[in-house]
Amino acid sequence: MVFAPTRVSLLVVAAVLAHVGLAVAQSDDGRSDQGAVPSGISGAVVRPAEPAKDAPKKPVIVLPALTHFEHADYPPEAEKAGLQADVLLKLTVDREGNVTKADVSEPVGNGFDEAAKVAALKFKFTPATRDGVPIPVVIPYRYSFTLTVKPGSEALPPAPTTGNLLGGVRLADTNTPLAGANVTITLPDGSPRQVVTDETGNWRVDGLPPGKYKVRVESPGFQAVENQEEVVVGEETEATYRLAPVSEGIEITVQGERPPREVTRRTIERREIDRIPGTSGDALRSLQSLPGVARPPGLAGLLIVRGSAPTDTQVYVDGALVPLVYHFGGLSSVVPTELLDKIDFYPGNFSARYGRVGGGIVDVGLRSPDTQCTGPYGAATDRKGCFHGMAQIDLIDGRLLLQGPLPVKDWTFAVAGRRSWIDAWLKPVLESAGSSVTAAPVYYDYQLLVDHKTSSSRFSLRAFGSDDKFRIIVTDPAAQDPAFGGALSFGTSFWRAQALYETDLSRSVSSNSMVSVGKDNVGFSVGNFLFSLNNFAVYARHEFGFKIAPGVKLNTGLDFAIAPYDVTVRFPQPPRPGEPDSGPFAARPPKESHEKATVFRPAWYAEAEIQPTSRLRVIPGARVDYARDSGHADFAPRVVARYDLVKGADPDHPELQPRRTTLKGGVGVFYQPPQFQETNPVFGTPGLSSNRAIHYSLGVEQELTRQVELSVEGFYKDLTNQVSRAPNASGAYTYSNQGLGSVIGLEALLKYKPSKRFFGWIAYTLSRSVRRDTASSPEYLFQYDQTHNLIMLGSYRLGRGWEFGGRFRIVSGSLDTAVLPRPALPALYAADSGAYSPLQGKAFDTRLPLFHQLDLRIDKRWQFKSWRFSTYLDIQNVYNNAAVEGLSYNYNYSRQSYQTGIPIIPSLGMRGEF
Amino acid sequence: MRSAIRGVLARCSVLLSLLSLGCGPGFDPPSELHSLRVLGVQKDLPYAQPGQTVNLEMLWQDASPLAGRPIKVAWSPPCFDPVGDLYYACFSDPGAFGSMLGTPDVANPEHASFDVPADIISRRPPADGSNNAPYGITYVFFALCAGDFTLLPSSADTAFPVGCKDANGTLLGSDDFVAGYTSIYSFETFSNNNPLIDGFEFRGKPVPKPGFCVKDDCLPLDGSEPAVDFDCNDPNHPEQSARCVPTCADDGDPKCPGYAIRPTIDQANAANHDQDDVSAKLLGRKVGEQMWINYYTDAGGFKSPVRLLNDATSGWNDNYGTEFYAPKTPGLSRIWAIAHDNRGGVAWSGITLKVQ
Repeated sequence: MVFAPTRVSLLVVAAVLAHVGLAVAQSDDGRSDQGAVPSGISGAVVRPAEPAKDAPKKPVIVLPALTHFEHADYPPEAEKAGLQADVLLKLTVDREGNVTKADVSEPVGNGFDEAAKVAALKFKFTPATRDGVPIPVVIPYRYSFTLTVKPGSEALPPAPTTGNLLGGVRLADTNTPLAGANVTITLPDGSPRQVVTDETGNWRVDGLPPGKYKVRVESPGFQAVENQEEVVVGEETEATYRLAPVSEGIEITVQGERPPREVTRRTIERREIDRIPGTSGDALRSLQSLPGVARPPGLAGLLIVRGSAPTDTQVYVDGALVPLVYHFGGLSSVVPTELLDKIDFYPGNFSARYGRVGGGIVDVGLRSPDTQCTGPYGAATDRKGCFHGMAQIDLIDGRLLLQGPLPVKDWTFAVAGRRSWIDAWLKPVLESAGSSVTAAPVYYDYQLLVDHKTSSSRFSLRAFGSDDKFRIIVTDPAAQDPAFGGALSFGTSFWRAQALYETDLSRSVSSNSMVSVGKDNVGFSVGNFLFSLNNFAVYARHEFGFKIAPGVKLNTGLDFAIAPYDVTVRFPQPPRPGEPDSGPFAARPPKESHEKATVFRPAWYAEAEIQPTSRLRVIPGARVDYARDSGHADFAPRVVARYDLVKGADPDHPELQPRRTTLKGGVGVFYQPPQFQETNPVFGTPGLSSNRAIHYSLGVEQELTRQVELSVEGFYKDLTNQVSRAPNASGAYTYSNQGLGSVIGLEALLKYKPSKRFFGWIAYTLSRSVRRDTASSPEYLFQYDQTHNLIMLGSYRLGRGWEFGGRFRIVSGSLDTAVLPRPALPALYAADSGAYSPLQGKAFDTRLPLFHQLDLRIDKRWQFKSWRFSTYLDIQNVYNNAAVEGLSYNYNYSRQSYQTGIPIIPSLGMRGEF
Repeated sequence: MRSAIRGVLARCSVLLSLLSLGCGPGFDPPSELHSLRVLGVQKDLPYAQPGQTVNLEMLWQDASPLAGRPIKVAWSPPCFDPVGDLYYACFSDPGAFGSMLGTPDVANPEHASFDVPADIISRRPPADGSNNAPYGITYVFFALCAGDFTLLPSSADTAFPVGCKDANGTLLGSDDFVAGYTSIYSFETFSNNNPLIDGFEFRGKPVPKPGFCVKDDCLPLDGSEPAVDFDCNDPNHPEQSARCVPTCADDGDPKCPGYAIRPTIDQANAANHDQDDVSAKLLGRKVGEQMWINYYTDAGGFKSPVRLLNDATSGWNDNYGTEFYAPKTPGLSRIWAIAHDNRGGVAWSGITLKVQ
């Protein structure tokens, strides 16, 4: 049996010709067209005729006609495989009727495309004319390759028996049939066959040759599903597909660096933040799962970034500083995840936009209200102007959110609030422990956003705030220090009113402005000791971006911080960092400091984004900070660079699929003003200047696959002019700028980017952070040094609305300070307080045992027609590891043991949203 | 100001996180005496003005199984205005502690005195310009040793320079060697009274003399003296039966019945509502003292071993007593109540119960 190729004569796409012919006919008789006809004929765009009394004479266009057909060589491999194909070409025919160019419009592969092109270039046409004048044109042409039996050979056997492929499409959550879904079957020759599901959600394709077929099912608003099915001769292969809605809501980007202005880029999407076990969906707490961020003690909400103290990292909300990030130091963050648009996290070497800090930066951006309308079962639509709401409750708080359009065009709003309810169950616990509760611990936060967004600008007004407080009377003072007894109160509150305006003034000039005013109140008192701060904070930023040349953009801006404040501290002198315990506070008379002044700290910065080639980006910058309170001005130059050693996939040539390799690095100077107690005339040393740090970093990012990326970065921080304790002329310890230090480390992140089913990463940090109080002092490990930090986490969508995730951490133990070993006495009896005062050895010289913990989380979501309900169970410390968080001693410090951390803690939450 | 807020909140965050920690180890509470212990040091002038003489008295107890053994008590010379007001700065002159090795005053080992220099305030660095009252500070160290004192080589800036060795020259540990310090602040015009304890209440009723002791009367409850036994059924002293309680198999646990106890402290007495002069000067208004009571026993336990007596903000807490849980072993149980104020004032009283 031999199959010989044959050729089919000329075939011209009927639809295209019909369009052209119709246009010509209509232009001839003046009748109006259904619309403009993009015939693709160069130099001749036919427009719909407009009826007019005195219409000018319309041109007469004659299409080219084929005069010579060239037979293409049938691709041998395709012939052997018995394949047939139609190749759709676009032919450019010149004024002489020659084909000067042949492009394949729809590739079919298997050698057919090349063969058709070669043949088509040898076609000959009569040229197209316009009013008799030859014109060049571009026309579609379908070249068909079919196989027939050679005359004289045996009769072809019957065509292979075919099979049928059929199935249904359902909603993943409810198993409801989904009508109108597109089912695309890729035939073995690569051509697609498309069908649409009917009212019952079913589809069918008959007469398919046996073999494996790729089937793709998609529908707007749902995540596409692909699978491979096998068609067997004489059988029906049935497959049912279940589609899950595309997850709504914001995509939160946690960026170590937002190119092009920083070195390190870390990206966490909304789905990841919502599902990382052990974080209860708190966006800011998810930062603690990134490399370069050390594990804080217990449940503390501290950000310990690259070996720096928590006070060395600042948190902004859209450029405005906030005084606290977590309620009660770690319960939940003050801005709910649902209102976040992004979190930019810069562990170091950040842009000159930021200053006054030597560690890291977290800049949280609030999102524009969501008004995207959804269809049944959460399917996305193109419509806007709809309302959305959410109500959630878990073991410690409840929250509400409502967002939607305002009656004025392009204006939207969002309002949200949260209140804890731990006071309901904690109050009885405290009272049973002997305390009298005046105000049980309670926190709340609130946010209001009003947004106006156009294609070129965004104006946003916000008001947000937070309040934490409790007041109890401790009638059983702490035996270790009876000063912590009696009336104990704690309260922090702040509010901000903020306005942002972003716009493009022209194609090459952009402008971003932010003004924020607000008030901070912090109060802590116990017995006759207190700390009270009232602060009226004004922040203002403005930045211009100028594209001054191709590949060169200049950003320059002003950054103001103005804050009249009133602070009162009444406390005995606390130990300075690294100083041994000075004994119980109970019987020590307090000192008081009362200051009323205004912080005035303006800054100016400039950065140039230079991209001399498409691979290289260099960003030099500088920042000048002035602090009126210290009378110092600091100049901080910085430069970062990124070079794509291998560029990533080109969307125009996806078949090439190179994997991006980027080298990155930077060096910069960073200043951080001293803390309040360090310069206070009563408790500190006035006249101190800013801490100085030089950050160095060098790293590489490597795309391993489209889904997996590896990033490795080394960093070094050189710390000078650090505020530390040092003896003065009389031998007493005071603060001075003689401190030195360094931090060296390596971060690695192997990340599987979120796909339909899975996301996860492995993060590892190796670091060492040391300090010296003076140049001649011995070096010691910094309080927050953590040598190893390994985190492995992942979450997998099981389907039907179920998702399961886990996080495992193994971290070097924290540092603690032990008492003196024998034969020295470990403590002295401080007779005035009735307690013991430990006699401590070298500060932070004791490394606690290794920490390890497993957290698991399971989620279930039900999608209903007009709303969605979800619930989660998040279990921290699943195997109840008794992790050591500190050293514990008996009353006279003669016996030592370990203080363990949290036991297994389950957390349950439920949410309803529409 | 961000730095001030972040600094305070960082410390509070750590504190709050520590409050969220899991269980700690089961150490014996400090209120239960099982070894050589100092319970209080009283100064007749808790705030002493320049030129005044301060007399100190110590209350201690050897509650170890070896009670009755000889205990040496020693005091250091006063240490005036150490660098940074830090008590361990006094250790920079270890030789000054050599006198502790000498022969103690065997007649009154629990007593000492010193004179406050006239320039204790004026010789300090100038004031910082704030409203804080200028002051001077004196530290006096004391030690109790169930052996012989010895000077130790300096191993660290904070190491106490004196040790205690037994007859074999082996250094003794915290169960047999106790050291401590008391501080005496000196202001130009401020003074302070010790709290005043008038009596003792047991099961809600006053204990008649000699059923309780106050300060110097507490000799039977002091040092190595054994407890004085009494007859619960003595017809000549029917009041003694009120101080008799049954044993409890749980040995001082909260499962045992609790017996209300407290020293009698009269709020109306001026000594018991002194003004905290330092805080008052800072605040510009009257401020009371912070006062609390430490309870101790050598047999049994307490529901709350430390109780608030007066809070500078919320005032007097009349519910300053606690509950005593009897031990499982019959015998005598001695209880001490040490009242403190936050300006170095101390007073003590005690009672003996019979557990049968």
